[in-house]
Amino acid sequence: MLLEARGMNKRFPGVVALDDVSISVRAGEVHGLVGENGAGKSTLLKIVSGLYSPDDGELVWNGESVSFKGPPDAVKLGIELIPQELDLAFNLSAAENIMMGYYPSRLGRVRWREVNRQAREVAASVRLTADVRRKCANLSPAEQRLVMIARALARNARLLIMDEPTVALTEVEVDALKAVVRDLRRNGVTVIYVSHRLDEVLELTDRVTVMKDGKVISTDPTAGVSKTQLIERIIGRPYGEQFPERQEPQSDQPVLSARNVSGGFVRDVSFDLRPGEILGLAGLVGSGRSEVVRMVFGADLRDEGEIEVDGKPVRIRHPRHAIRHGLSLLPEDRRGQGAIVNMSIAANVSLPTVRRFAMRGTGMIHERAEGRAVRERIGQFNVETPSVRRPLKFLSGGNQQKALIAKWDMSESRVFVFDEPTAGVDVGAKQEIYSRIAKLAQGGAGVIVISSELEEVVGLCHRVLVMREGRCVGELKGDAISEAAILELCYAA
Amino acid sequence: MSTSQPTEGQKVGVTGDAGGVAVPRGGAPKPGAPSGKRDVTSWIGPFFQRYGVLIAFAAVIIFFSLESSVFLSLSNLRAVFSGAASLSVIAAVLTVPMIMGDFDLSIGYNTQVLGAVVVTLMAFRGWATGTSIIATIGVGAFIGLLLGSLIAWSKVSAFVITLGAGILLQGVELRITQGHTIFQGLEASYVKLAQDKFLTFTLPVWIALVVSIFLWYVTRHTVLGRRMAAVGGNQEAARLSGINVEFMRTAGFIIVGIGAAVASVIITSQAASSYPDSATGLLIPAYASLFLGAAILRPGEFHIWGTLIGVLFISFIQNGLTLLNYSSSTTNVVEGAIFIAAVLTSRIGRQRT
Repeated sequence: MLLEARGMNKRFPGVVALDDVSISVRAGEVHGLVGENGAGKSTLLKIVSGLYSPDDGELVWNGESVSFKGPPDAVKLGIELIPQELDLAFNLSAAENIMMGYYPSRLGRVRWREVNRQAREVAASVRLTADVRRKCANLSPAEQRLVMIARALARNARLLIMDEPTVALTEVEVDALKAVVRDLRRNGVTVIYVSHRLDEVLELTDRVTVMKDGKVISTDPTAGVSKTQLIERIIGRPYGEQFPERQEPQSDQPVLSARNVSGGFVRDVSFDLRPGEILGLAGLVGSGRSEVVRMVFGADLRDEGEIEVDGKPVRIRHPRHAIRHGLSLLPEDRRGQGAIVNMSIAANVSLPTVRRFAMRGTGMIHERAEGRAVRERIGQFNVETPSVRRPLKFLSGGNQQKALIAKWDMSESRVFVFDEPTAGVDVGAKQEIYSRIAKLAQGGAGVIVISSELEEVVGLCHRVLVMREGRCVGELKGDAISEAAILELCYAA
Repeated sequence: MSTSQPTEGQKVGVTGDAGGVAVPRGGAPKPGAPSGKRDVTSWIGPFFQRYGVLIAFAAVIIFFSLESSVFLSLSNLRAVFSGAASLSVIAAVLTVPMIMGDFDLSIGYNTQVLGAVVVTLMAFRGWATGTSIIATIGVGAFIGLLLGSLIAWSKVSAFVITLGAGILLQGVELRITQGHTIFQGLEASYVKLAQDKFLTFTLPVWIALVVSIFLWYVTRHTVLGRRMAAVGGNQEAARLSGINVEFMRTAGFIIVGIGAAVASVIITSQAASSYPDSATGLLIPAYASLFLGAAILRPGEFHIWGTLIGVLFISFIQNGLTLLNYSSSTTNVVEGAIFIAAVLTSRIGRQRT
């Protein structure tokens, strides 16, 4: 055993985060760790990497009992955590990040050529092809993640902990990352792989541990468990149909039409959206799918193109115009564009609709009514919180996402655009989000779903538009929608 | 050294130090509060964070009341409150753009100009007291509108633009007053504004209180305040929620402009004149009050009541030291030191930014 945690307990005010957790990781294996948001995975990982100290329990590294005063102690042993939110120095080059703290120098002068040479070597070992002299801020999310891995390897990591490494990566990049993980294992690096994407976990890992409510439910050789078994252990109940039944759109009169939308690298995208219809926008990250909906919503300016709501042309130059016409957009980047983490849950959820709770003229908010409405709405998404007046940051990532969906849900819009609605959300919550999306459509709203998880697009949508390089390259309907058909359109030259 | 940093919540990550001494981690009031023998740090941190400044304030009051018999007398309180009125108004209005992340470094000169305007209108143009005051408030709002829209739409930082605007306004004031003190021709009714009493306190005290209550209400309990908080929290998220960010930021500066006008009226009527540098020195104590306030009750957030307590804190220290016959140089040193100490106290155990 490379690492063993025995009888770990960790309590936070009001919660038991870890309840007698024991886990062992063998040298050289890829060990999967799965569970719902808030199951205790992060707490466990933070203990293992020296960020938290356990209330009690023993940590054994290579047969020796160890205790960490902080992450540097863990790093010294070769334990490296690569968090979901990368903590790179984004204004420095990839090479500077990779070699950080270990710059070769002569007479106090850093030998930059040597830094770059060594960084390039490590970068090559994780298949990072970008020029290491480039600023991290200018690298893609996938490349940034590789820089993190390279940095860990430059420090002689023996155990790499990857927390949700594939969020925000495209299909191709995910494949590349999987290859890197396999390389790591071949080179004797042990990996703890945490992901909500169970297909990845099943494909990559040797053994998999399931956590729920602060306890370890099971650890098994991955070859011996099925996806359904895994899901049922994660959610702790039998798993029904993942996707809700699709009902036919009620009307042929489109609620939203986009005509020849162009702007940036997006050219001439047109589509109609009918009430009750769920329209998928598929394509690789960077194909223009987010850009199109942002232009329709007025979040980005378009060079050309008309928008019609209910067949009438409307002027949308700012998101507030779109909202006035009954459009909603759940943006892709939760932290950057959706969540206001220091504001209360209630204020976040009611932000677009707060006028409804305000006295006319004075703008005075009736806070009790607001709180009640918000509590009810997030309750439908099973977001649990002692009070809706607590800052949003106290919710886990998945619950934040659900709260933000509730925010637009509350707007009673006629068109909903969900850009990556299930990013970083656990399986149980995904099911809730899917059924909510279906319900919105049944209620007569038009829904657009953008997702990198093709399964989701295939399972939810009535119709799928596929984009490539800023253009719409194909449309799939009904039974013609399949992952293979979408991928073919994504990549066809 | 490790560079591997944790995610949300441990941004500062003081998790060990060079000397190998265990630094208590996670003293902040969040998951991570350690147990066992670290229990003390788990509540002391948050406690000082919220109440540190208030405790320091109380200590200062107790100290001065023991040292000086007049410190807590009604007449002294009246004097302190009257003296703090203009600073309260300015600090309170500055809190509004600050909630949205905008500084206004031109506030001192702005108030100075408006003081020159109101006095000149009465002294040289013969305008009536009421008309002059209303006109000055209009000018203040207009300056705020110009500044605010310039800042909001140019997207250049308010810090830089208001720095430039301050220099410009200083020039305007010199042009108006030629650097002279203007006191002739002021109507008695104007001077009386500062002296009239209502329920033992002078009118400026009540004006400051009304301004503060109004701003507290707007920022905490109205749609406008919500939207301002959203802009301060995450501009892009606010915009995508349909908020007109530029309008909100401009509104913040208009409020500052109006507040500057009100403060200039208080200052000039209290002095019965417009004199050079009567308001320029308010910039630093005003922001000191804001930051003291941001260290109270809701740590890390700017809020009106906090600001007001900050103003009183600073005013009482000044007053107490004067009563004890310290020179103004000592006053400055002590005031600065207490300010730094109070803010530091409130940051004990605090690891979030």
